[in-house]
Amino acid sequence: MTRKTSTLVLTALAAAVSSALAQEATAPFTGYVAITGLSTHVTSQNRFRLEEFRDFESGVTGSLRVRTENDAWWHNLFGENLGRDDQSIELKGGRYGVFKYSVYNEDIIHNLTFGAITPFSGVGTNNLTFAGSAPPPTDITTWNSFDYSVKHSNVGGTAEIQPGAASPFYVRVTANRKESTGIKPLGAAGTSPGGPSYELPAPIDWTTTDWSAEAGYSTKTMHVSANVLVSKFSDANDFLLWRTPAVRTGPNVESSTLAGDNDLRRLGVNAIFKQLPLDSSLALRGTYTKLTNSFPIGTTFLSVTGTLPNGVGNTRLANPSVPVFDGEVINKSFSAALNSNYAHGLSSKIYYNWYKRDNESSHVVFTPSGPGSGGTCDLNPVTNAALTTCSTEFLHFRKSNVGGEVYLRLNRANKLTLGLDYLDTERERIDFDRSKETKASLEWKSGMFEVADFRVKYQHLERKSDFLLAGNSDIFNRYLYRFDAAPLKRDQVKAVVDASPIEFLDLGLEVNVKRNRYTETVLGRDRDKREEVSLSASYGNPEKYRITAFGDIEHTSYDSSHWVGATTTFPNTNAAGTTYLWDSKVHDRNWLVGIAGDWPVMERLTIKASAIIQRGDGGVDFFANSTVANAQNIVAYDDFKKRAFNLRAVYAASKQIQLTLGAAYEKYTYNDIQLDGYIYPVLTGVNQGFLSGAYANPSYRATIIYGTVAYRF
Amino acid sequence: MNANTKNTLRRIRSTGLAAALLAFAWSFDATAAGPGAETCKNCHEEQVDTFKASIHGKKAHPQTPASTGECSSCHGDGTEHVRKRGEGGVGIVNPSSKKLAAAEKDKICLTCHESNRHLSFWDSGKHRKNDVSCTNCHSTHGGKDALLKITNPQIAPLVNTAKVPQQEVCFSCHKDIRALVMRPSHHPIVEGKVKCTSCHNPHGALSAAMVNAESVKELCTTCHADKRGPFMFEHAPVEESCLNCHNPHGSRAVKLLNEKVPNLCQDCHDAAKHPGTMYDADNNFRAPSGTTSGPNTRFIARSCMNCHNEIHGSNSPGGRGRRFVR
Repeated sequence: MTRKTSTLVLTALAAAVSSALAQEATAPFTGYVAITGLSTHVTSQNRFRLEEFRDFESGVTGSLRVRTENDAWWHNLFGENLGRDDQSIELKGGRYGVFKYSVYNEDIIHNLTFGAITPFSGVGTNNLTFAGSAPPPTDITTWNSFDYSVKHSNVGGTAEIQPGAASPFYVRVTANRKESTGIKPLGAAGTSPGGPSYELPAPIDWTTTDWSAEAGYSTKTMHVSANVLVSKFSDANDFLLWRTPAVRTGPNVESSTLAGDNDLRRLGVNAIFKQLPLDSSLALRGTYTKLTNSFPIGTTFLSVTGTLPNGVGNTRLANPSVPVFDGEVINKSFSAALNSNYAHGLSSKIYYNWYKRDNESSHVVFTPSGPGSGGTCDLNPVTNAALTTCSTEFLHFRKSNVGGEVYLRLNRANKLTLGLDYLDTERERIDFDRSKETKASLEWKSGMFEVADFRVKYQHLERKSDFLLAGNSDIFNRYLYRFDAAPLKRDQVKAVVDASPIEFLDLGLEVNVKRNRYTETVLGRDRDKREEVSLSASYGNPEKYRITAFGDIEHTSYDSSHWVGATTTFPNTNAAGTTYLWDSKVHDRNWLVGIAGDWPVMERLTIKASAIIQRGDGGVDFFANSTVANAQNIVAYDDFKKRAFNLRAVYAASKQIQLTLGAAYEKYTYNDIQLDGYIYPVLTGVNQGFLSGAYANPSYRATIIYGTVAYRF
Repeated sequence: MNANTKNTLRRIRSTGLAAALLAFAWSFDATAAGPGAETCKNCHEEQVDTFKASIHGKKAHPQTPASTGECSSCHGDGTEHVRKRGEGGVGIVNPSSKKLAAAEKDKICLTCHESNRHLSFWDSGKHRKNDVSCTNCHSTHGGKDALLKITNPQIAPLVNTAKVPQQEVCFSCHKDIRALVMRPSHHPIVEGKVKCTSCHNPHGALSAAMVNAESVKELCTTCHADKRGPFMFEHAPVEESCLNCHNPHGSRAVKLLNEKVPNLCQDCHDAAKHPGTMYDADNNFRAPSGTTSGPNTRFIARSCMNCHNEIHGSNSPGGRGRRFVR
């Protein structure tokens, strides 16, 4: 929705509300209207981290809040950043106990990169090309400049009605339409496998329309409801067509998948019964979701032969077994939970969850033929020899989860919780077709110290999985255990202390430790851990002054093992250094310290301030079982430092006029080995690629001066 | 004046006083037990004013405390409390008091709100099990939107939103999430565009982590509908759970990834040729000449995504779709 349209909608809504109010007794209006001016000075090659979700462009904007109510009705209109990319407008209200409504326009800007460049023309469309012979020029001064960003504009509303304030019946309807427009980076291989890569600006032109309705009956002893959701996603572009720099002779248009249209239908039923025997409640939920789409399957693809840059384009036939792909995924779920209170201090929760996913989409087998090569992917299941076809594979899975928790209150101040959980996952997948997870937990919560509460929780998880490839002829397949399903042992401890030793002082401490060990993994992720400590402190009377501080330090690491070289030589290292085992440890350390305060200096003047200092250091340590490999550790991996300060003074010049003057300073420095020394036309010869600068050079320094004049009524 | 006259006058005075007190008592609404808000206001002016400003103070709603007993609806019969001029808090309760158990606090609110559809799953939720009570998050007296209790100044960079920072309520307990949300790659929670309740139901749900859907993928694709599919070529871990690769609260790596690419991908993919290659520091843009590596498009910039872009699924025919390169 354009800004003009949203302004018209707002005006219409205001008129509607006004006429509605004219029917009621006169109601006072309260609120404010404000104008804000910003002056922003930024030094950066790509300031997307400053304005990823914030519109700080110098200029003027407005905000308002208008509330009116009488004994029966209330309405509240809120708007901010009017006329900007992150504009927000909402009108909500209702009749107490009977009717509630909300209508809104919410814009979300998501900037990904400013000042990207590309040799392609047609940026913003689904057809990219370049003039002259391939490849395009490497002189970036001739390239086209653009921004990677997407703007989501949501327009929608909600209405909920009850026949009367005491009625247990209700009906709720919602509608939302989201239009997303912009450009995002899309990577594409020049040839496959190997060869150059190209970073292309792909268009985003999406519309998501959601309608939902719920009807229910809710009393103190039971709740029953049914809800339905209809969601339609459409993309104005199914594919990005682009002229490939890899081809000089013959057909030269490639096609990359963009987001596909889809339709979602969901039906849900909830039922809760309370005040059952043993002071129990039984909660039930069932859902059925069907996701569908349909599109004609591509019958050809470009196959590049020859030696780049003198590539030859060939139109190869895909020969799909069916002409149209009819996608259909059905998800079903059922959940139940029984909560009971047996005696004073003893209660429990027993639960069961079941979830099933079936992919009933068209099964397609491609048998490529014609000029060029490639397009196959199937392997003989016994010998792993390449076949002449490529077939779709769909994931079906079913999860059954049962568990219980027992809560034992030892005395008024101490409580123990014991938990046991079992999850059985069956899936149609080539490596792990079944996983069984057992989780046990113990928690002690205590308020035995008058000024402090603490709790400590320990959880142990074990996952056993059935591995199907132990005898596979491909060595990698025999030993590669994918961590999402691989056998696992996890230990997790969490400790929290909250204290209020004196009036107006609150202290908090939280410690989290989690360790995962993938006990049978030979190749793949074999362990990871996370250790974190958080501290918080707040002091002051909220009605007068208040200061709060927060600190956090976190350390994570991911360990994994890998093999380089042909499968026939596994696991032996050769003298040439072309086959060997190697390990890596990806490690991250993050720090955050922040402080904020509100201080009413004088009766009319309040000072508000916030300061944040953050730092992240990452790296990778390599251990190669080869003297030739000469592994070089990575020392800068998403490293960053950020300082953000914000200071503002709020002055009540009179009962109606409030003035705010503020200044913010932010400095963000970023260092990452994958982006440092960025080169747009990268490599030469057969591997010459064309990058566009996505996410590169995000360091910035910004000073923002802002002032607001608000009229309160 | 003789003694009899004095006694008579004394009796008349006592009777009159008793009658006056009775009349005073009978003047209250029959549904109210104890003194009304105007009496409480004599000592608790701010609390009464904030109560009246909230929905609880709306008499037009027949089920609000304003219609059914005012202050005593939540605090109990304050007659003794008034009689003793507030000494010792006799005969009343403070739902925010730390001396009150969580279940006892909840009972006060649930007297009226138990039939509220938002609280249908309260018994099953994590918050109730962990003794988080209504008054931990809400305040009838001076609460913000939805009566949220936010007392601390917000630790945040400059944000151009005046919306109530709902997340500040949640961060008071979920401290590790505050740190994650402040990471470079994050959902726009601090910026006021996404709320904790966009994904979670703090009042209880049957799903893990009290999310607003039956599975993680169904939750995420509520907003990220472009990732729904169905795709001709699926990526199995994507279909089973987005959390295999992403941390929705925040991370340092782009796109909320748990780990940077190529390491994340190599945790699952290892084969002859490039999936198993050790992409070390020698593969960067600045790799010195003469090294065996030099800039490697499987490492620099977006790494694996330089070629395998359609990582959530592809509709391209044949092997290029299966390998997510088109």
